[in-house]
Amino acid sequence: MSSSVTLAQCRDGPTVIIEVSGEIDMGTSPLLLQLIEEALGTAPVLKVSLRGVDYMDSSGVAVLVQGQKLATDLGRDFRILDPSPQVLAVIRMARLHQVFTIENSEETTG
Amino acid sequence: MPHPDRFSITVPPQARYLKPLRAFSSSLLADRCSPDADLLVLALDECCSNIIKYRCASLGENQIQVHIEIQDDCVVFRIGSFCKTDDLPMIKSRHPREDRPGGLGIHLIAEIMDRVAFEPEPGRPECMALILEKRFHTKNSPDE
Repeated sequence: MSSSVTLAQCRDGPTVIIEVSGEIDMGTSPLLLQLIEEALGTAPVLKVSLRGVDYMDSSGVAVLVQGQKLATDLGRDFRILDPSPQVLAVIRMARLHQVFTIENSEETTG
Repeated sequence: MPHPDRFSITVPPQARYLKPLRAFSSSLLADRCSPDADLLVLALDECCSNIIKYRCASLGENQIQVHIEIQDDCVVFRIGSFCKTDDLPMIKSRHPREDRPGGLGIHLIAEIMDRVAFEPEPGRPECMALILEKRFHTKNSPDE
């Protein structure tokens, strides 16, 4: 019955990628924030992959904003990777699509 | 005028019940309110999240009451006992880049819905229900 989210983390050289899947709401967003904060403590580059996110609400957007701010404060590079259509729609509705660095892995890899 | 379809759901004000609330509303809205169904679910979810985060315990409510009315040309959500009358000045949308906590959910609700209003609960003037309305735009809509 509870909200479900799966968080996985991998490292590729200086880059840490957090893979998120499931639903990000006020019940699960604190878990994502904690992982982002921990990763930014060590990683020069952090990518948060949101390809598998079916649902994200404003608490998820707020976590991404907090991650962006923390990365800026620490001199890190914070990127959103492969947002799902629902996630991208919410980010656009929040008018933050030009604030975040949004990366599409298909474009990157050609 | 055809009768609207009316539905109600009551859940405890806990984050773990947001997912089943979304599933319930999504199942109702998917057919009748496409392509806006996902956004309508988001708006409703934001309202309920706000209740969980901010609703004052002094309202004496221990449940979230959601009523959904689907008409041919619009959908109306009524979220019972959303806040106290005294809370209304504090319920403000904010620009997403504004650096203060809260208000982003209200911003999304305002972006999605055509009408956002509060009305006193019957017999409880200190207690306000939140009304959200979204009109469906068809090919025959005058503003299309």
